[in-house]
Amino acid sequence: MEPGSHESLGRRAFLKRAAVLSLVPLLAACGGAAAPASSAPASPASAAAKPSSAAPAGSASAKPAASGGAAASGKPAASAAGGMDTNRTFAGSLSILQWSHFVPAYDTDYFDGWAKDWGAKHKVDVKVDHIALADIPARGAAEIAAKSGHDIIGWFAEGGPRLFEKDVLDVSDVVNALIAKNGQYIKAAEDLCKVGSAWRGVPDFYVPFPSLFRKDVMDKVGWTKGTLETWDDLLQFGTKAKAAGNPVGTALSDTSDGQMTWRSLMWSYGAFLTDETGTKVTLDSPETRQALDFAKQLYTQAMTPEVLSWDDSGNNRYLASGKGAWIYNPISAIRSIEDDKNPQSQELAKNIYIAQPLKGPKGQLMSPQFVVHTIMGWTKNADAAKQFLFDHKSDFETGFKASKGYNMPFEEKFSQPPMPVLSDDPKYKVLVGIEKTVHVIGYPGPNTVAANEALNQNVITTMFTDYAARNMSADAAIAKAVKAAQAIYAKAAG
Amino acid sequence: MSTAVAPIPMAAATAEVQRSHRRLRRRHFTASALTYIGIGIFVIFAVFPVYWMFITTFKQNADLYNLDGNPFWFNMPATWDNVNLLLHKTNFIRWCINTLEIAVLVVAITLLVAIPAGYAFARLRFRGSNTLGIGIFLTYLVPPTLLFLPLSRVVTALHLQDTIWSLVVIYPTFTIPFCTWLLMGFFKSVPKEIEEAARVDGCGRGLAVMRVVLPISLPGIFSVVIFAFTLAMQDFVYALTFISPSDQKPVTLGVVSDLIRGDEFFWGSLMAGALIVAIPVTIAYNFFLDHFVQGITGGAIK
Amino acid sequence: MALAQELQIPIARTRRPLRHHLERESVLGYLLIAPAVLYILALVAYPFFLALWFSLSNATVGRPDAEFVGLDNFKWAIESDVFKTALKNTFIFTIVGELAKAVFGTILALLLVREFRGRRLARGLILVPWAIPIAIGSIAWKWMFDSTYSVINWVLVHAHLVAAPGPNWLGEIQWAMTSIILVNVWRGLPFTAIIVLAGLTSIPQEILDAAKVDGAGPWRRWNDVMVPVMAPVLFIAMLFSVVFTFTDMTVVYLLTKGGPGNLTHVLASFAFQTGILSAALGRGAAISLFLFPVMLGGALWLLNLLKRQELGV
Repeated sequence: MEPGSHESLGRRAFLKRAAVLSLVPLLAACGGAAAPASSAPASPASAAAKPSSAAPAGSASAKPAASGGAAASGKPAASAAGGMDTNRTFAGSLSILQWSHFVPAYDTDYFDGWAKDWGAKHKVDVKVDHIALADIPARGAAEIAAKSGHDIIGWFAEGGPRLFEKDVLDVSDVVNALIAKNGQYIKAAEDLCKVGSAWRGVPDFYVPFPSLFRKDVMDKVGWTKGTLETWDDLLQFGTKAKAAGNPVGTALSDTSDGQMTWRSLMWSYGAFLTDETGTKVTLDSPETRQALDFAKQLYTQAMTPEVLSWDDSGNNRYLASGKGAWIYNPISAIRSIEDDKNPQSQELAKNIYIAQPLKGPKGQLMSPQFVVHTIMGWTKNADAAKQFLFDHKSDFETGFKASKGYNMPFEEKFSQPPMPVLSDDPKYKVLVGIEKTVHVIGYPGPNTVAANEALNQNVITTMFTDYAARNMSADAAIAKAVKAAQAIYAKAAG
Repeated sequence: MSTAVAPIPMAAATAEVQRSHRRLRRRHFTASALTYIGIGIFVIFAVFPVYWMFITTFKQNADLYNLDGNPFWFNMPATWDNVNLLLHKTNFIRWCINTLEIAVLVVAITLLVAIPAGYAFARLRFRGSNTLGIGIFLTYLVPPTLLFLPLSRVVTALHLQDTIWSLVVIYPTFTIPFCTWLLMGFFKSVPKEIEEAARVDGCGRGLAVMRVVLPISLPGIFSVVIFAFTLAMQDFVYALTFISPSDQKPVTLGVVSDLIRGDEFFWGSLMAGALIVAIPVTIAYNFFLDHFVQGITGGAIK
Repeated sequence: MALAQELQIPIARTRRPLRHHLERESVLGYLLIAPAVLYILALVAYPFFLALWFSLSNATVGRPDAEFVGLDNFKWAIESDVFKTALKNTFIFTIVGELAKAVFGTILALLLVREFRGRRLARGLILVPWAIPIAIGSIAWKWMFDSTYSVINWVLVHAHLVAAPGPNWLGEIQWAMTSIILVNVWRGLPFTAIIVLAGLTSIPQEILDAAKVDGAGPWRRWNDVMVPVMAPVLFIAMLFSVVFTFTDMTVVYLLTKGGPGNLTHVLASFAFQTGILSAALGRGAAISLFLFPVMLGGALWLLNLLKRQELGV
């Protein structure tokens, strides 16, 4: 029986509409139902305890809670000595996102515990989330896109204040207070954290790339110099070492280690991606060709071909295997060998020595990794965040010791000898003074968005690999890199 | 004359029968041999890395990094250390529970949404069905590598960030389209006559579907469950984007993020994590596959 | 009601049961697809249009509200060497991978359907690659391809098939591409096999028996009976598998990060490197969406093919 009457037509249409409309409250209910479930994990103290208590904090850094407990609450931060009153209490919560330290003890034995204690003292619910350094850009981008997330983000080796200027708070008050307390920073800190006249980030530490080499291999091949001072030294020693079965190695690939190493080489040959303004691509130069030629010689005569596929852990493992005679890497590589209870590792560690970054014809320049903290614009606890960062950087020594000398200070004062951990160690004391070699990505220009983009698009490392390992001509390799760089820098300008 | 001739054909016949029997047996033997060889090759291809992962789980680190050792066996004594680290020093158990919760919910949502939709596209005619069907498919052409950014805005607006609910809501976006289409395919291959026969017998459409179509499409539904479950269990990017507290992480994210510290890969524990997750899932899938092959219609092909 | 009709008594305002309305195909159709469509609209359409906007602007991660720049990003992409390589690679990886999966997956399914001792065990083992989370599996393969510690090279060298140290699986371009395809196939093969298996087993036995009675040999049975019946399922599975591989970033990114020298990038990984790591959102979006019109056209054409084939059958 065909319902063809007007009534059923109306009813049909009504039903359709009703069906669609009924879904709206249904969806809304779903959203609403989800919300209370989500507010639960957001704040209770127990959630804060979990991630940061991977090992119970042996809090040597406990500030005497008794002092100033009564005094401070009402004082506005600006008026206290140095601008930041460490006895203030706050409220609410503070969440921090930063990398998992390569020296795990820094996180487990120091930072997480310290943060928790700080929170207890200042009545703030502090939560620290560690993620792999490679994941920070993605996570940071997501939070910035959503305009919500952690209050403080610790950026590693890229990103941060200059890239996300609009999304981070002005922390000049914190930094100026720190400068008043700890003295001036090395220039690199400004390059990284200052945008215009405002500090947008609080410098934490930098990670230098010194030479790590095998003294016993030197003895074996008759390298009487006993150390490596110039890139040329490396080539000569490396050639001998490779012939003896211990090639040298540094990542000839796109990984972060590679980005740092080949920039260091380039700069010390006087070759640069841009000029001082950071807008004009100056890669095509005789100095670049010199650097490329050197890299090719180094690769063919002294290195193992394994370097072509190395990620950041490649050179660490190479050194730890006993095969590598030299790598260019932060000291985490030795520390992990030293920490391995295995007798072979212990023996190996004894033979590994350190040297300052290699010198080239035009100077001794090194590109380090680093950590800087920014306070994100969406935070609801800006004052607490600022106090946290101030207090975190007020105590240099404890953190430095916890990192086993890995977290090199941006502060000039702390870089002077004698330095804890380093100066008393015959091997490690060579690192003192390394801050003089530090230059940041984008050098000689500023650390811009474009410079970071050129880094992440592997412009420099591709050029070196193309010439040294893939037998492209120097002209072709340089032309390819220039083309890619110009596309990046042109966009940035426009 | 006939007696002289008769035995010969018989003998010849017997011989012929015997020869054909032998040929048959040889064919059977060749067929089985080929089957075993074929399966063997596939099994080795699939399993060789898994075997290596298994050995690595129980190897000491020094053994693993020893260039001279045999990677397929233990050169130093095996150890439970890696497994212990995984189970006790990380939130592994918690991560597994999170993943299970997420996956079950996502599969449920997917089935609830995709079965009706798949049936509608397969059997019903309505205006715009083609366009809508294609439209749903198009969601896959939107690249996930960028989707996660705007989705993070959505998740934040719903206040779901840093909880597993964000994933429960987001994952169906990539399970529903494919499962709808897959089910559409399976429903289409159910002969219309069977369904119509049920309706003629007096079943309404709904009952016909439930009584007849769904049971026949069970293999399809099981594939959908397997597929949706796998997708929900294995995602990494969305989990990374929306969840940072360690105890809220699903297992894939947790294992990858907490067991790789820049330089140092905790290989033994990583592999242990992978296998502890994969093996129960494999057993479950295998169980489902049994139902495929036996089938309600006894459709195993001889 | 029937009696009333017979008697020609006019029926006014007869209430028809809801079920009657639901019996109408269109209403039922819309109702049944509504959840799916609404879900997708809410959670995919908005991000898609946002990505579209990004691709036409100079947005960066730190500055997502940016200016319209028309097709500049797409122009940049066409001129970029890495983009051209990524485009080429996307097609190569997808086509080679899918062919391998289709062929071997079908063979595997046909084998798995047979009775043989140890079939359950074999099936279980073969499924494991699919069950291992792809992120972890890729990392494991990365270690197996490691330039120093590669297990595969160890086997090859010890079997005297190659000279030490063996291919640099992730460091040289031809090996790197092979590795990526290999991992993709290793991981995707079980799934293809499952789908084909499901298709095989949903062929009603009667049809097969009828074909046998008609004297059709195995190849005829396959070609003229089994494939047509399985076709919708197979086709859809293949289509989606292609799309997944086409848009997948995980295997490439975890194995090689697109290296060496940006040479193994696919569109998805290059989009990630550009849009997220380099923070150039606009260009990243352009890379991601570049093939969208092409894929759309291709999908529509293929779907039409399916429709026509269905009607023909």
